[in-house]
Amino acid sequence: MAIDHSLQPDRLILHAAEAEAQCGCEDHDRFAGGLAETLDDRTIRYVLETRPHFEDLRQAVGQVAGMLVLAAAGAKTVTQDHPLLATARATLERVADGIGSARPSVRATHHHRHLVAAIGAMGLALKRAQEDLDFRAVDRGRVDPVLEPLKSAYDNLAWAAKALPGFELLSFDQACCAPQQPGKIH
Amino acid sequence: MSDYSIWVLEYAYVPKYHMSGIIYGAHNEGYRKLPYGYVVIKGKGRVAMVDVGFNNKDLGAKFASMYGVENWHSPREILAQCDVTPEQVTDIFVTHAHFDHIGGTSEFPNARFYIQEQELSKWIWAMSLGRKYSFLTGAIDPADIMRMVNAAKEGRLVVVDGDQENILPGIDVHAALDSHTWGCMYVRVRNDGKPDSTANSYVFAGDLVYCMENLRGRDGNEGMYIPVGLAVGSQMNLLAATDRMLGMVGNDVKRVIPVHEERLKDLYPSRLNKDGLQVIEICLADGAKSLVH
Repeated sequence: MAIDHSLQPDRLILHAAEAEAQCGCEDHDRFAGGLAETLDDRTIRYVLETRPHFEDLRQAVGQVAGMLVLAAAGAKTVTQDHPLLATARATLERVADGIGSARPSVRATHHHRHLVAAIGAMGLALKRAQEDLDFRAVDRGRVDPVLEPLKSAYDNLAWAAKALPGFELLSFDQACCAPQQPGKIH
Repeated sequence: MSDYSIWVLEYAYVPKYHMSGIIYGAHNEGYRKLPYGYVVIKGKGRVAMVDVGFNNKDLGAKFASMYGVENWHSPREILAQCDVTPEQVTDIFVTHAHFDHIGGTSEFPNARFYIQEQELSKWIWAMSLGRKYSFLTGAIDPADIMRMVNAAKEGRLVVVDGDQENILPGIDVHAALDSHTWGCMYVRVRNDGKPDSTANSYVFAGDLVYCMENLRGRDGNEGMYIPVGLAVGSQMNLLAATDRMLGMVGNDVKRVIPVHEERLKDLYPSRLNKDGLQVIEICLADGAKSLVH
């Protein structure tokens, strides 16, 4: 199924500061807190529905970031037609469908806005990776056209993660800094 | 003769870390302090580090409020203890791409970074396995990887394929593939510069070893290697890496350095700094000044 482009904002804003200004939120860096924070039923339903898509999108962003760093470092394992780019595109289509069908509550509107922006930015990153970026070119430093929207996608995921509890860009319990926390969201 | 001064500089800690994370199978055995530290290797006109800590700017507040990470201090403050600025750091060995080891790269604008190719390529592959396998990928922050793109563009990223001797004079890197992570790397310093040195060698283990028990066993099982509590690869590979590391230092457990080992301060000369963080002096280059005496 094709990506629902109606989800994309009127204009993709890739620069973080401009995106923050346009969003109109009081504080993007405010941490939403844990699940102990009271959420209405509709918001909880939205969280449960969109969490898998958030995780899939996080994984797709990570995949492309990893490929970029290898490409920029001159690794021979990365090519323009690498199958993982196709995987990332398929993931993005699935995510766009899922987010498109989600119905955010008032409380979740901010979160949803950032997820939609992340999908748009990621779509642009993948399009540029396929069409414009020759991983096999001698000048492997030419990754900026892909890196810019990719960073924007990540920024929007980070803001979304702060807007509602239950969304994590990192799994803190899989590295050496994870004391067991009662009530931690999994 | 010693070419390099080497310190382990603590920059933060978790006061209570569960034992089962440090030692495989140590369930319901309580908690232990888990220090976070950098290794600084200074000499022969270079300043090298092993790992760079986490990105406190973006993650620090969450770490403090939810995960109990305390007393974080910036690389600039910590490195000043050995008269080094982040700008003066020339080489950084990233043992693996977990966020608490690779997150601070942007603090070092002139450093060349070294990481194993498989640490990145197999992580990308693991990402393609989907959500069911996200245990394998969750501890790597895509933002950290994107920061590495900038280093690569500037020609400051060296992707290492396996073992490489004399990556700097007297310093070797070795791969421990499919162990704690896909492409873990440990660093051996042959401090007399001799090719077959064991007597004056040190190995910096990254997270292949968290504590001395991983190297020498526990009561009743002395001499038995015990893996750390977390691996995406195999326990066998962790144990084999442990054996290999020990072999490089003549099986002297004291010279395989686990930075997360709280008792490292008791094995080497050390002192607490004004902020309550440890400065541990592994060795001094000929003529160098001690930070602890």
